[in-house]
Amino acid sequence: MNKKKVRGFITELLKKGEVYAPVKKSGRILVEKIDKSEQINWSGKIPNNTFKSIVLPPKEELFSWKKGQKNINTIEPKQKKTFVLGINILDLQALALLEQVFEKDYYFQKRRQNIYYIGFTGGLVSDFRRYKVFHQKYEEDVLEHLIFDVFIEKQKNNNHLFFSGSEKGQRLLENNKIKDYENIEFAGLIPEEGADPRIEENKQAVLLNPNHPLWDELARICLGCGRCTLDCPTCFCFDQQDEKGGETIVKTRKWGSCLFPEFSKVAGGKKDLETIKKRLYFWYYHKFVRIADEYNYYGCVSCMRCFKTCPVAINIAKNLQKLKKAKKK
Amino acid sequence: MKNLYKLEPAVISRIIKENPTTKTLYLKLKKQKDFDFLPGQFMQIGLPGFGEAPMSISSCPLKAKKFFTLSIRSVGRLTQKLNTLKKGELVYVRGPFGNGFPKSGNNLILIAGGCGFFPLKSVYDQYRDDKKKNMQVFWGCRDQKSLSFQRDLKKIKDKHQLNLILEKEKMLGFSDKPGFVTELLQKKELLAEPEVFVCGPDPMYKPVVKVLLAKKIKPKNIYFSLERRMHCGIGICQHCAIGSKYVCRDGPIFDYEFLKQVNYL
Repeated sequence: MNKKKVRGFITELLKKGEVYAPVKKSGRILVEKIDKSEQINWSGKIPNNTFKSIVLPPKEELFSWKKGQKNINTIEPKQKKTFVLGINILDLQALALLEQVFEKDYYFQKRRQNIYYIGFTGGLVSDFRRYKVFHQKYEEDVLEHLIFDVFIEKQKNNNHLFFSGSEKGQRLLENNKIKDYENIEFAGLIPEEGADPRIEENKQAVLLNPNHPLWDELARICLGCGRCTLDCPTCFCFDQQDEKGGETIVKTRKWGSCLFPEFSKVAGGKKDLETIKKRLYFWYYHKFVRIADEYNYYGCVSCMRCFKTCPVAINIAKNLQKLKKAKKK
Repeated sequence: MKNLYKLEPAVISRIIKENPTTKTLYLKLKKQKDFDFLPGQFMQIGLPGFGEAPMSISSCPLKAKKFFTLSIRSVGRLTQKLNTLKKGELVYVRGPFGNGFPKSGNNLILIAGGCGFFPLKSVYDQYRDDKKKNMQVFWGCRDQKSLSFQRDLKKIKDKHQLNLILEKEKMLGFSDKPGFVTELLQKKELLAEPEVFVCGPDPMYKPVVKVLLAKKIKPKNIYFSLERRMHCGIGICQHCAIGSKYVCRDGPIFDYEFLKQVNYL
């Protein structure tokens, strides 16, 4: 399929709903809502922001209650038909994790029904090299273990291959007169031969080193600003809060950050994670131990957004290397 | 798909003032007949505009079809507001959440610090009339003013072994001199081969464990109830994570071995 046809497909999507895609803006690549297919940046580079905010908004309303009313009302998530285009492999892995974590979350699941994940690669093997993926290896059957609706692969000769990854995706392609696609049968997030052994290696590196001098080093420079958690595609923690507004009270949830001091505060003021050192270890533990234990999956997809956004350039890849070396001693 | 975050109204059917800062609210859901829980499980309780918080159920699980109680000490904005409510007014709850205490053998030791007795009261009431069950209750509290369930103390003492100690004062008929619960544990002969359920403030756990292990209690038979900040109650929001588990979903009751493994003890 040539580029023109791909553009035609996107033009159709723009007529059917909202389209989000990576866009180049003053030297940065940002995932944004677009109105024309020409706006899309097809470089395959990891955007500075994540795709997570589309499926997990930074703030959303859950319930409302009017004064004098007995029951609390559910605010149904209103999600317009949304096409998320140009999702790279690493971000698809992150979205796959969210899919597991939010399996029982009413709002996430309702919203997801109207959201289409459309992945893109300009060459899978080279992507893995270019992204400097620091802790996973490229597997040929990578698509079988990802959650997506449609996937587009651009070949070297500018030919575009289409894949469907769900019934929803299949219908979308068929309805847009794209017949020449391959259906990828989802084979579970974890390959039959077992999870990537690096998941276990990374887990051990963090698990066995709670007292490594690295945590003191990081605690000395970390500002606790939480930018890494906002830009991390696998950070999903949230806070619920009641917001007063006249006669109606609305319960909302907002993205949280485990790097903030109040994260573990209980009534009376006690905090389990009272120091930044503890909170940093908690963050790494979430990425490399807890998610690995719970889902046998990547809690960090090595997108390096946390490094890029960090005001003091804390480098997760280098830190993991340090811990791994210590483990070997 | 069920919305697990949705709070349901529950009517306050009775209020007992436990002490100047604590009240026990008897609550009834619309479908109370369908309600069930295990001792040690907790409810999320909230009031619109005041947020919500996890509270252990303090009543007997055998009465779950009729009511359940939450004993509330005023420590924050929500709990202070809850303790101003009157009989017949509504609170909002969801749950029960968590795992609850495990089943226990014939010998059971309950060790509480302050409000930590609330979930243990639920355990106690469940087995209160079980003739096969031997129970020892150890309870340390700051002073008489902060004790709850004072009306039940004599009954517990008469029927089972109640070992009460106050940090600041003695209490006629119950404790001869001020001190900590660990002192009582050291002094008393403990039931043989018991399960031990502990609930209290964090700093209490290490010293209690030290005594229990010195007295040859099997580590695998010691269980603790933990308190953590929670927002979701279903293992998503991460606030209550401990090691690779969640206090809301996998706890709040954890055994000694797990807590040792995550460097908590």
